[in-house]
Amino acid sequence: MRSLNILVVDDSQLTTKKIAQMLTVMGHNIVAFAKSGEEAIKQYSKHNPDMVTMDITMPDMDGIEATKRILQQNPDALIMMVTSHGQEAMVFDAIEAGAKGYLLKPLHIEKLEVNINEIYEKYGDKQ
Amino acid sequence: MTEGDLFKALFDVIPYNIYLADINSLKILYMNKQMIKQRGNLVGRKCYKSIYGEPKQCFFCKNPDLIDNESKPNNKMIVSECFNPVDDHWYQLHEKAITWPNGDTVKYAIAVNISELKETQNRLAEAHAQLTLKNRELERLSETDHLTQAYNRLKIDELMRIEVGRTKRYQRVLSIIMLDIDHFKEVNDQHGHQTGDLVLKEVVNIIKENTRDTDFLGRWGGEEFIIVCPETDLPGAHVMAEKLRRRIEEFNFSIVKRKTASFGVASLTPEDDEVSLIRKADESLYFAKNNGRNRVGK
Repeated sequence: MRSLNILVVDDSQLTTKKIAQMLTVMGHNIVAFAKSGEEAIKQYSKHNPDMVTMDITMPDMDGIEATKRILQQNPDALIMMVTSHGQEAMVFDAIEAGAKGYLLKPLHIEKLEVNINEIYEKYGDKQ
Repeated sequence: MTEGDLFKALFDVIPYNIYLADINSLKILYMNKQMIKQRGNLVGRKCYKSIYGEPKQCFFCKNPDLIDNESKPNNKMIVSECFNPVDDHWYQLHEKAITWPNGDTVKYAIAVNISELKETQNRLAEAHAQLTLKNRELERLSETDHLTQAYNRLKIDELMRIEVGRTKRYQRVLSIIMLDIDHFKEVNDQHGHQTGDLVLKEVVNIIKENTRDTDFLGRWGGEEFIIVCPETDLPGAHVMAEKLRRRIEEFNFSIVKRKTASFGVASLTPEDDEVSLIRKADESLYFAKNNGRNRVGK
């Protein structure tokens, strides 16, 4: 698989750092970080990344709302939730909003890699 | 031995992480032996920074819910689950505010490591997500035409029923456009079916780019498509059909270069149902076909 440009969204600096490290090891490129839903939308339109890792609980707009908004403007956006919320209702809302993957913390590099590859193979290169 | 020492002595024998923090300054006042062993001595540091790695008070902090208006303990014990990104462990937190012997309000938190339990729960939640995704995918497959990704006949029939019902109930307007690619058989005969498929896909893209998000596009038959346009009257549908006709006529198709389409338009009247509406659009399309093609029927 080619090297992807990825936007990492999480309000915890520590988490973004960990995700970024894993993605870099996997050979991907971090195009930007965002700490809130609002920022995620801005960074998405600025960088048009190949994929997004999205936290759910964040100050101001949450990750599910941000996912909806990004997909409204970019129906092909590939967004994967990376969250600590495992409740069934939350999972359902995220998928309904258009998330293409759902991972729970703690994140392991194997888990992250398998999911990115799966999403990429299934939904392919966006135009 | 003071009351505070007694507390500490008690906490030290409990095999879970326990810390005390000032409810206002958020400074750690005490950690029990178990927690010091695991995290090092953080007494005197801010809890959010040293325990959770946050730059400011955690926004999930429960402190405000543990005290009354005067910053005194409200005697509530709050139990929550929390993922700590510093050590990558899940904890069940038991938090309560108490009055320390010196009169200050402090919070004590008992943190039980539940990482193993959560691992099982989380695997289940991830499996649930996979299942929901698969279901969504199946739902999409069951209602779209595989080649063009337009809605299939089944889904369009359903959408027509819903839209005709809604339009009549609220006395709104509804129009449909039928279009048929002119001399499509020649494409298949001269260039093969793959080229024919390509033309269908390209036509669908043109339509999608030139219709609104609220319009529904379906593949009606081989080279025939239907567009359901809610909140659109007959003149509006004519304008839209004419625009699509021109876009197709002007489009530079990959292999066949030039291709045109004929259009039929119809609007719902109070006497109409789905069947008669489609018949009217069909008649309009038939008119266009019989009057030289590459045009919109009456």
